Amino acid sequence: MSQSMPDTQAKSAPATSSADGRKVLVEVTDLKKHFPIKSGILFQREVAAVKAVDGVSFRIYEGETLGLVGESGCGKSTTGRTILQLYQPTSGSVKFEGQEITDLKGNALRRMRRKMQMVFQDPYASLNPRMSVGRIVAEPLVVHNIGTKKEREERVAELLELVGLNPYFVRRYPHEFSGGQRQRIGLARSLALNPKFIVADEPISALDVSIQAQVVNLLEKLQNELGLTYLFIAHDLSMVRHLCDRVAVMYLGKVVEIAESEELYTNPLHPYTQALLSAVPVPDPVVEETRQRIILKGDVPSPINPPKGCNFNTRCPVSVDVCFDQDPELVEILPDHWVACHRVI
Amino acid sequence: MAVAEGAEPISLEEQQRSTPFLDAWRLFRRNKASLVALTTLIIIFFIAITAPLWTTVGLLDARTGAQARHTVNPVNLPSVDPYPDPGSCARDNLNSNPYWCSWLSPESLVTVQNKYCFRPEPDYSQKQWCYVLGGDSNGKDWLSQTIYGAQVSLSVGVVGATMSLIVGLIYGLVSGYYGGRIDNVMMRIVDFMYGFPTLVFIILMQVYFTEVARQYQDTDQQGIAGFVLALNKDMGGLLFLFIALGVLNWIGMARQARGLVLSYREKEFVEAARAVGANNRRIIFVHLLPNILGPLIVLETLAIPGYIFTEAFLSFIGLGVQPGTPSWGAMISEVRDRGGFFSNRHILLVPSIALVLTTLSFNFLGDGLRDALDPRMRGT
Repeated sequence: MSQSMPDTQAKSAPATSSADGRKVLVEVTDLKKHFPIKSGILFQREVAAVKAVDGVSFRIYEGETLGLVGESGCGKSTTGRTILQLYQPTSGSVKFEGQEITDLKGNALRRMRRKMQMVFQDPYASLNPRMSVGRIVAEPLVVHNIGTKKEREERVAELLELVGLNPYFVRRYPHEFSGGQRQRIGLARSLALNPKFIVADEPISALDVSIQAQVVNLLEKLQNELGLTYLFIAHDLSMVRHLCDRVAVMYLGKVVEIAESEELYTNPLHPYTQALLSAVPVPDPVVEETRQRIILKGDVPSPINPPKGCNFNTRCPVSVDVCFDQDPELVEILPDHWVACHRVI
Repeated sequence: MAVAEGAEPISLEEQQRSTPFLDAWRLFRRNKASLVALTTLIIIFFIAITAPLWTTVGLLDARTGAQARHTVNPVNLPSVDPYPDPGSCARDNLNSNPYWCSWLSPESLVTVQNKYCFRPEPDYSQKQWCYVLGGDSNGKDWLSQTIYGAQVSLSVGVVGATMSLIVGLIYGLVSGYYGGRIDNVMMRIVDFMYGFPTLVFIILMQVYFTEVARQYQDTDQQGIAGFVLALNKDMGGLLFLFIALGVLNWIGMARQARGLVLSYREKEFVEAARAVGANNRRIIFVHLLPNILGPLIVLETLAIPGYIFTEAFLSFIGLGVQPGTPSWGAMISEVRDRGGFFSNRHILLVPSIALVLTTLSFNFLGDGLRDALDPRMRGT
């Protein structure tokens, strides 16, 4: 079943095994987002670019949770935002329910926003400190002109109850809440328009460990009740293993491995994934002391000047000559397990 | 302040409200100096607004006391010529108006300055009319001039502050939000304005228009110049001052507003609003504006003493309000020009204290506002 799509545009997108029967909700093909660095006083010219996302392709099936992991600065958050068209992609395509959304503008784009929403990382900065909670959660309804005032109030109360907050909190202000509660408010806001797809950009990173568990359980509960699809961006690997069906690993703007969750954690093929997973501590002290950790030498290269060939070649413990010449493509090595590495092919 | 989910619901009335305004008020209250300043300013404003209550008759021109009673605010002041006979105020108004000319003064204060107390002979049954703080060389009541001067200064402060706040706010919002070339061009204009010699500009304008007015004193001046002059006269000579203050200070406000917009524009709640589908207008007015208004108001309050001083300074050198309009700067200038200081030492203190009190109050108020608004913002 390992066939790559005969797609001339994309480098190689993971195949939708049509025999699988799963419906593709979001299809990202060779997505690129470069941020230009301009220089000059009056007439600014682009002298270089930060290649935050440099050719990313994957699919997200309806009803699943795709985890997107990688170290800080690898471009995960930028990918999430670019999918939602918060950034205009430099090139590449994003299809939502089969419809291309990168060229939508104005009202068409606004209508598309009703179906896909985002939960942000920082619970303290993602809520307007001058607006009451009721107004914050009702804002999506107001922007899209949905319902009368009374209906909106009812919907806000319903949403707050859904995320586990007391509806009497509508008149309170964000600074009166704890981090976990604020994250729930952000979640309630993203659910206001009944979206199908939610990009969760590190929603639990800023929270206490005990609260993290609560919020993750809430996310799972909402997924079951409302049939949501998540793109879960995180760097906590153990949490990702628990929550996500499939996981994609990113390094310096490119996806290096995508597989089902258990498969990835038990059988990581890409050397970067292997090093990443070996960095996760094991709860068993005996095992933790005796196991062998893979420690990568060197630092992540700058995204302004990615290395020629494979992005990972500066730190890879098993690199060979071809790694410095050619950029490896994402190839399906095992069923539904895609890797971008010359050594594995 | 974590409240357990699912706890016993408290009714909305019982909850202690915590709107941003109430929080700011609570913080403001802690600063005693700014509370005192606020009270002082409220009193000064009240006195200035209800000036006719305190200065019923003979306030500005002892000779045409009856006429002076009608000119209750500087905007409508006619230009009056000094008369030599100071007692006529009391005499003219004795029968029609039994109230004091100036502040209520008990009989015991009669001895303060005999020259300024009028008891019309031979009717000793009438109360004595006293200028409590004395008068100037023309026989005008010093206290009443101070009170009407407060009107001028406060209006200059308020109008100047409002104009520069509104213009600077809009300019900074547009420039900061849209960024890029628009921002570039707008900020270069601001940089240019920074070098503009505004004081010289005001002085030139005043001198020119005074000269024009003098030349065409008798004829009815037509056209733009005539219209401007008439407007200026109606405003007691303050029109150019208002224009100049508007031109002067909005640039500081614009820079500050732009800086604040640049920092708030990248915050996640703005991104969240965009993710929801809000358009630019909504983001600017609903998300950015309420957040940046706080520091701008603080800045503006701290700039008001500057406006008041500018007006006082210009009136002092004779290029501010028109000669008939009372102003603290003009009063100080009067003491310097016409004397009176060596016989009545307090005469210089009155407008000076008024000026100092007002500007210090605005300063402390601004400090208190900054304390009230900033710590809460640091917490978010």
